[in-house]
Amino acid sequence: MNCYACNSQQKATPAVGICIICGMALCPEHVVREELPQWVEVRAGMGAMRQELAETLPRITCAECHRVLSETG
Amino acid sequence: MLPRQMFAETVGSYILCFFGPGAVAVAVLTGAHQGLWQVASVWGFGIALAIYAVGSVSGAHLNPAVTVSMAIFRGKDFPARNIAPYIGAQMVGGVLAALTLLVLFGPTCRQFETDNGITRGESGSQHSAMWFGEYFPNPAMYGTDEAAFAQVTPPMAFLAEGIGTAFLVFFIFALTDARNPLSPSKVRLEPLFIGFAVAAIIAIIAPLTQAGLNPMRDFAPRLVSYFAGWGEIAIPGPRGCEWWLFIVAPLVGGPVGAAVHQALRSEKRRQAATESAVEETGKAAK
Repeated sequence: MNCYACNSQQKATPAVGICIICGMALCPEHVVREELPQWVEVRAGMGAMRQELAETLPRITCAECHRVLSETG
Repeated sequence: MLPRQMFAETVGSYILCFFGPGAVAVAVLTGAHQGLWQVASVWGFGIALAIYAVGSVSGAHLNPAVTVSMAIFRGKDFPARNIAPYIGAQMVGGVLAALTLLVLFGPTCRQFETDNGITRGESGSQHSAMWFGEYFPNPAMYGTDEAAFAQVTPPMAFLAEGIGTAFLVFFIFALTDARNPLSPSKVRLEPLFIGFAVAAIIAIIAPLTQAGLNPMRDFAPRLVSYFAGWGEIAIPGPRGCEWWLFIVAPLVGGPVGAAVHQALRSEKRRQAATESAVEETGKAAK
């Protein structure tokens, strides 16, 4: 499968990832990869304590979906 | 991570000791709160707010009895090595809150002592010291003479504080237990219910011992009152045992309450229940 963004610019570039939101295939140039922090809730007190895990979760999106996700949280 | 948690415990303990002993100060010195339930309600709301404010950072122990109980029964999530830093941070918050209250209500307290013929540091000055540490029986309700002392003896006070703290920690464990399907934690209401629990316990125990239920809540302000002129009335206390009784009884009662909760919801029992259910299903299938 080729990159959808490159294809709209009449270029054929092999895709390396798929946007998790819109499903667009993306080449290394158009893919946005993030490492999201992971939290776990620990019930060791009167309130639920949030502890950040050492492991992060990768998220692959296209530039457009990444922009919308960043703006809307 | 631990410095952030310690800071959260300091902030939460400050909130608790500002609103808790602050409510007692307002009731004793100004008479603005009428009756025990008003003081208990302010206590409860203060604790609920403190938990909502810092709970997601430190778990909001705000009480050495809770800290020790968590280390004993939820050691996987709260290791014992965190006990000393947590209690130290709680004490700092409690002392800072008591100093703030001393600044705010100091002149009012002086006037209260003048109006009632109280000499700070002498017998009977627990009337004006009772918004810092605890005394038994409650000086505002029973007085401070021998006849009052005879009605609540040190063993009775120890039992009252122990039972009160056992109830408190039992409710905390039950309300925050993810396995409890009736827990209000799904909609984040458990801090409010813990506040209600504190108010209810104070309403019963406070006439006897002022309901300390929390070594930090008692000892941190008591230290401040010791240096603010109450001296031996604060430490060791008019009956000699106040300073340690309000530390030890909650530290005994707290784990007892936690143990009762653990016994109700132990993994072993759950496992046994599951096994018996499987057996029953197997029998029914045959």
